[in-house]
Amino acid sequence: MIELTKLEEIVLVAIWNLGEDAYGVNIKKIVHELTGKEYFYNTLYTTFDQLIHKAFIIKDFGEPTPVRGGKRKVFFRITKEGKLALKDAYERHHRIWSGFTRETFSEEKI
Amino acid sequence: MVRFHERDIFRGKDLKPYPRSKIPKLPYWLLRKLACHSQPEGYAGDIEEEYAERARLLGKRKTIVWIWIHAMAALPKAVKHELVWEVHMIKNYLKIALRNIHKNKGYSFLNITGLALGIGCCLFIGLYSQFEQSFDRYHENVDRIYRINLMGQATTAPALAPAMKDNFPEVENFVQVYDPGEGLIKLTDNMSFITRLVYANEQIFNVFSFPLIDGIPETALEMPYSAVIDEETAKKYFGNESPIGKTMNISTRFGVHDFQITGIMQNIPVNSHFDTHIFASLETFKQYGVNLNNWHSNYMHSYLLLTKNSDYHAVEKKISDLFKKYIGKKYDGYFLQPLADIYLKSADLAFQMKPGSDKNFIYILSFISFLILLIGCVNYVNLFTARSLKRFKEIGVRKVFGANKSKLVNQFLCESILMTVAAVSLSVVAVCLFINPLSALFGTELNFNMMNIPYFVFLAFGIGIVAMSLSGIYPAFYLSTLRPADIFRRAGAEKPGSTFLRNSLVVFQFAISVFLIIASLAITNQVRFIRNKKLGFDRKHIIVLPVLQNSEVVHKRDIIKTEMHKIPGVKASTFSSTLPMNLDWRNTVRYFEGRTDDAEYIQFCCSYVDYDFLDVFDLELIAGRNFSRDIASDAIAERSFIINEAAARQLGWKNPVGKRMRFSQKEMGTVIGVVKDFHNLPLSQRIEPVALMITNTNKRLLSIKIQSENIQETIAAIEKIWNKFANGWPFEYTFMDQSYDNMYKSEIRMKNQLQFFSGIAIFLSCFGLFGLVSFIVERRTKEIGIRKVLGASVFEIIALFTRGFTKQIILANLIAWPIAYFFLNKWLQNFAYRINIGFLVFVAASALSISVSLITIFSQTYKAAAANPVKSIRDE
Repeated sequence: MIELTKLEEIVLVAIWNLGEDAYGVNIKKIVHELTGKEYFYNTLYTTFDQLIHKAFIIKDFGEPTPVRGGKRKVFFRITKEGKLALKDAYERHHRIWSGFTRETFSEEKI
Repeated sequence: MVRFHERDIFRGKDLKPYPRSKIPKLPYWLLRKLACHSQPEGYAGDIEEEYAERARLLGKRKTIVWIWIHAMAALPKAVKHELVWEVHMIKNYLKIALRNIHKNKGYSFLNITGLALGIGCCLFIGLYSQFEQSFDRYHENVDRIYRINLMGQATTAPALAPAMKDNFPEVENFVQVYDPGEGLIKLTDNMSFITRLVYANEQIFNVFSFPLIDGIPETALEMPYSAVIDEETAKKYFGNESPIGKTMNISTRFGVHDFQITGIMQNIPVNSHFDTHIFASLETFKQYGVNLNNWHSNYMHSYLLLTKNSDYHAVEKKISDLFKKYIGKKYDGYFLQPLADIYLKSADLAFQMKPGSDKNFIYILSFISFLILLIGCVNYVNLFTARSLKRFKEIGVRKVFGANKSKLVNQFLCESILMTVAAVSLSVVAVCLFINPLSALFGTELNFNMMNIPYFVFLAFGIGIVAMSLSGIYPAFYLSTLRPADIFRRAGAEKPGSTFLRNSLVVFQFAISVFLIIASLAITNQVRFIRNKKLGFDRKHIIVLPVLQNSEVVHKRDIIKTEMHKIPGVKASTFSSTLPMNLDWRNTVRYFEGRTDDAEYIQFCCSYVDYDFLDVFDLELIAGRNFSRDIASDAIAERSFIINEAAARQLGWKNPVGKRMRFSQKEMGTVIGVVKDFHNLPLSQRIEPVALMITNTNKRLLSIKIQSENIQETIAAIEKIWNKFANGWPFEYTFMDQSYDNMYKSEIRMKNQLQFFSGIAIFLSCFGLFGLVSFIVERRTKEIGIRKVLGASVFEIIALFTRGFTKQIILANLIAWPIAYFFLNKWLQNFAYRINIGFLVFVAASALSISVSLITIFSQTYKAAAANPVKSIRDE
């Protein structure tokens, strides 16, 4: 099973969530919402490359728009393998965190 | 931190496009350049979109900060990315380059040797010129020390320097050095040796940096008969004992005396114009009875230490007035020379402690070695571009696989770097191995130990880089600009411009070679002219022995001469102060008949001789008589003169015999004879007025004319007589014709060097030609085969190849001729007596260059032309 890095995992989730609208600016925003961190486009695109390489996403070109200086959007779509990988990650997280609840982290316990 | 919540803002198609031109160009460009992923279009679009958005929401300034942060953040990753790939690529470049070098061993050999020869020449000349320029620079006061020179000689009157110190505030100190030539040191009755020694006043250690190991520098040379010896002499003759306080018995021109050793100094470095092992005190001179308050005899080396920031030209101008003050007559022609210039800028001055060199000489040699390097690089360029035809496919395939221009340039540069590195290492090894024979050829004292290692490394690097850029850059760019489509379509055909370039480079190469050949031939001719010139005196079969002043030999000279004349092989002998070939001891005529009061002082070249001088050297008397033992007045000092024609002309005398003049003596002397002009100075100078006179002192040389048969026996007999009288002074003779050749050492040296360089140049050029022809023949093998089948003869095929190259070589000759003529004419102007550069020299050089290159071409083409056409056509 191919492991996902944290960022890959988050990006993959974002792409799945965005569906039809998954392109750079939106993905960055979702990732920002999810993690509270601002990633650089350079970093995100490197992650896209990795995900494409692992065949978890595929790319697709949109129409050029004036606001982008006449450049086409590059949309990303999650593949079946991508979804399986996310499922796997979800299961693993579930295993890791089983037994933990919000209560576990309540103030008096820490 | 800004958060974007309203998603529809991003999707709103109605938003006005943010004009792209407003995005700061630099960070945007950086961002795009530094991106290291495979989606540049989407990436750039995203950045533009968010930029527009942020600019709208947050204002321009914050957005500009944002994009800069973005750009900077991309930097480390991009660098890392680039480096990783570069390392991979370099590994690949090296591998391919090594394979190529390995595959074409012959060409690589030609290339590397050619480059190595050129680089080696440059390296050696670089070391040589650095060494020559390092002379005397180690003295602490080097900027403030000046030597006083008189026109044409490095020595001055002994009274001048002290007077300058007394009168000029700029003169802080002075040093006077007298160079008597050699001295004989006698340690015990059985042990004696000849060594160099000079007399110097006590200030020498204050002015110059000659560190003393033992002894007090300020007072070491204060007392008469004290001496400072160098470490080498001390070790050699006193072993490990301290020589301080010991005495040494030294014989010089002034007699035999005991000197007390008062100090030991470090050996004087090779790159010093002082050439001595012993400093004896100048005070000793006064004990000899020499008058140092003399304004007329110029025999003293005088050095001045000027105060800081003083102008030496100003001091120089005041010298003339000083003469007015002391002797009542202005005297021009004195000038000061900075210490650092002495070695390189006074080749024309007589009486130097060490013969000087010439700065121009260094420039010429550097230039020639650079030309040789150029020839080596031209070979590289030519062979590389010619052979590139074979690599068109490689380039095409590389391009198809995505190599861009810079990758191809890197590939080819890598190859030339490898070649250059090989060549540089080869030449460094060669220079280290052959530095001593090369130094001998170049007449310098440079040796392995004197090499300045950091400078040498720096030089090797520098020359390597120059050679690499000269040879590597053009081929790399030439090959990388080819377009893959062209390459595959026109495989085997050449880019039209490249043949022209190659041909002109061949012309250039051969022009340099022909130039050097012409130069070396012409200089050889001039040297031959010097050697064979009729000088007006005889120099064959004359042996010359140096004689000590006041020694047994001088006292008993009449007995010695009578004894000598009893030897059957001896024709005649004479004691004299100089030989006729460099009779350069100048003396001023104080008065002569017909002199007007305001007339300039005339300088004569004087020699003290005896009765047989004219006979020994076969000088032709054209008026008057020779010195005679029967006439009493002839024996009195400066009472009778024999002058030459030039002197008569200069003094304006029609009938010189019987006319009167005087030098330093009070009484007037009479001219008793006139000799035909002879070359009393080196051929670079005109014949000057000469006066021969008799004195009892100043006998420095014994010249003996012997018969051409049984030379060995005659010399053995002379030695026997010598040993009877010489009191231990060894029998060391020279032949006069050898000493004559020695006078032209620098010309002979130059001849050797040019022969060496022109040899290398023509060799390298033919090397290149060889590679080029062999390649062209290889490429046209099939054509040769077809021509032969159609009936061409071997000769016709060879002619086909030869024609083009012959044209180029003839063109090269035509270019080289006028240039060579111009420079040689200029060089020959240095000689008052010189050859005309004949047409023959040019023809000979051309014949040589053409024949050598024809042989080269022939050796390569003959095999192909004579081969059976069946083989060459069949080969597919």
